[in-house]
Order: sequence, then C-alpha cells, then structure tokens
Amino acid sequence: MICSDAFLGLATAESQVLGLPDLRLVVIRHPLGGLGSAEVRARALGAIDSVAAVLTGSAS
Amino acid sequence: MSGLDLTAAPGDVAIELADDFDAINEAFYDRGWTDGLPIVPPTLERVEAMLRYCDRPSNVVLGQVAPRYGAATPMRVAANAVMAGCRPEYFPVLLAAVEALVAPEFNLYALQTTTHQCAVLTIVNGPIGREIGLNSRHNVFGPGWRANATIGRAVRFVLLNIGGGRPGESDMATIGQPGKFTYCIAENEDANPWEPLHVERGFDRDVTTVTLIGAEGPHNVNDPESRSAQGLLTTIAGTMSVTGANHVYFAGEPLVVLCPEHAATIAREGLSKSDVKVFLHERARIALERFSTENVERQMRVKWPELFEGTADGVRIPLARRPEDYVVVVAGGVGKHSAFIPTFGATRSPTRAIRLSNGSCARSVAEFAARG
Repeated sequence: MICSDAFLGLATAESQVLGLPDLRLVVIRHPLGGLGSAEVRARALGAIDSVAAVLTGSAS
Repeated sequence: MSGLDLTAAPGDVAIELADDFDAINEAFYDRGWTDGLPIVPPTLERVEAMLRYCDRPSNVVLGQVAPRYGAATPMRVAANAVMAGCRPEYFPVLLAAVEALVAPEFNLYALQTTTHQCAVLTIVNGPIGREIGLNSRHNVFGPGWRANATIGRAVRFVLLNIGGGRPGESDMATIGQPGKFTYCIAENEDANPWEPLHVERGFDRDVTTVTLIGAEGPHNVNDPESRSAQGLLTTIAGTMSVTGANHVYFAGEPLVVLCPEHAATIAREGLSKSDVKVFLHERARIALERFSTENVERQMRVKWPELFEGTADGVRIPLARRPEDYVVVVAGGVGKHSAFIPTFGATRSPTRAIRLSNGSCARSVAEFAARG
C-alpha cells in the first residue's frame, strides 16, 4: 500500500485492525492532491524502487 | 442490581476511579474518550438504566464501527449515551442510529477518516421523536433541547470510542465543523405539506426512523420576498450553486431543509416534493467558468464526460446524478430561513426503523421499558 506521510499513522493502525500487521507500506511525501502532472510523476519515480522492492519481496 | 443482562463483550474491561466528578472527567479526557466537554460518568447504575430501554442482550454485536471496527454492543453504546447526557428513553433512537452507521452504503470508513469536514447528521422521523422531546421547530439546529443535543453527541461518542475516530489520528478532517459535537434534528412533520422523509422511503407514518447523512454544516437560505414556488426555488437553487462543496466532486445527495413557511409557499402551487427535486436538479447548476481551470480539467471533465461531448460552451455542472438523489425535509419554526446542507458526496443516507428484538416496529419507547 502506498500512502502519504501525513496518513502513515492511520495506515499503520488500519493494517493492524484489518489483520495485516506486516503489510508493507510505501510512504510518499504529503500532499499528493493539488500537484501538477510533473510533480505527481516525480512522486511516483521517487517511490518506484520501494514499490518494486515490496512486490519482489526484497524490501527490508 | 436488578437482574438485567449486563454481560460484557470480549475485550470489555471495567475501570475503577475515585467517586469524584472532576477526577473522572480528567481521567476520561486524558484517555481521549471525550469531545473536550465534561461528560456524565458512565457508572454501572446509569448504564443499567439506559439498558432498560433495550430488549436485546447487552453484549450482542450490532455492527463493527469503522475505522477501528470496534464492536458496537448495547452495553458499549449505553456507556457512551450516558457520557453524552442522554436520558434512558432516548436509547432506542441511538441504537437505530448505530444500525444505520454501519450500513454499507453510508461508507463510514471514508466519512470517519476523510479530510472533509463532514459530521453525521441524524434525522428522526415518527412518533418516538415527539415522545422523547426531539425538537423539529424553532432553532432546530441550535441549542436548547436535551434530546437533540445529547443524541447527536452520543452518536459522536460512538464514532470516537467504538469506531476509534480520534481527531488527528484517524479522523483526518482538515478543519472539521461544529456539527461534529452534536448534529441531530427531527423533521417537522406537522408542517410538512408532503410525505415526510420516512414515508417517502417506504415506512408507515407511525413508524419511527433514523436517517443519517454525512453532512457539511447548514448554509442559510434567506428569502423573505418570493411568493411563488419558482421564485423561492430559484433563490434556493442559487444558494446551492457553489463550487467548493464536496458533493460537486462526487455524486452526492444534496440536502435541503425547508422551513415550514417556505415549504407552504412551494406546495400551495401544487408542486410535489418530486417536483422540487426536479427543479433543483435542473436549476442548481454551476457554470463552468466559475471553476478553476485545473478543476475543470482534472475533475469535471473526468466526472461528467457526457457533458463535454462536442463543445464545453454553456456546460453547467449539476450537484447530483439524478433528481431522486436530492433529500428534502421540512424543519424549523416561523420565519423564512431554510438551509442547504452539502454532503460528503461518496455516501448514501441510510434509514433504519426503531424495532423491538422481535422485528416489529416500536410505536413508543414504553414498549422497550416493558420488555427490558
């Protein structure tokens, strides 16, 4: 799951409540709303290695 | 003890505090269990008195309240009702509200965790509202009536203490709004020239229902001059046509609370409630040039592609998908002030009847007291 840093507390609590305490969270900088396309792309590029690591099981 | 079933649900723990009002309030506040205002200590005796108006086991799970999905049992709800200052005879209304809270279409997880300001507006229809003294008239959204003030507050406590909707932790509202302290009205059915909300939704008039709406605050619609239905509805539609309300970005259920004098003005020309909804859907629209370019490109064109087929000239954005999505109720006292209440948008308003455990609809809270 990908969330912005402002929502990390909520995301962490939800993953525990929903029985997924080990769910890997990829955190991006808040906010995402109100950004232009180039800025959104930059956020995505900044997170892509972390996402790949989670999907391939190589994340620490 | 009276022999009432006070069986706790798994996970429930009793806490013991000194018999001191101030100390109890400090302890509850420190634990994040209040809205910042003093609470009534939920002693076992007070909880027991509340449960006399419930004919179900005290530990039966009525639903899981998002976002922490705490189990709402009568016992837990009763503790919160006591804290909010409810009289015991209000309890059946609160239990119906809890059943509505967990209705899937209400989308409580999103309502609880959104950055939007939405509060849970409770609208009560039917005889039990009148029996327990719920205000439907003057100052209907304001202070002065214990049933309105405490039932709305108890709903908030359920959201906080059973649902875990803690401000800044899981309740992520950017600015919130005062309705998150309490937000409960009854419809003024005596002054309603049309069918009241619960009858419109398929219930008998003598059934009591609770309807929940994920709502912004009320915006006043003052029109002292219009004497025609068209004139008055034009004013209301104009007030509704604002760009920043949440349902503009979603497919919401815009709520209009007509004061009795406005409702009478409209109805005397023979318009039905459905006619009102059709008028508002056609006329409460927002010209495209009133939106920012970014919102047009990234929101309106995505949400309403059918409106942009061909040229965008003259496009006006509606507030809802269909006329039936508008919610129209009558409330308030004398005067010519109605209210427009935008909603969260990604939610639908559930209506639940107050029922006894055998499934029959209660006509009086005394039916619970007799069985509890």
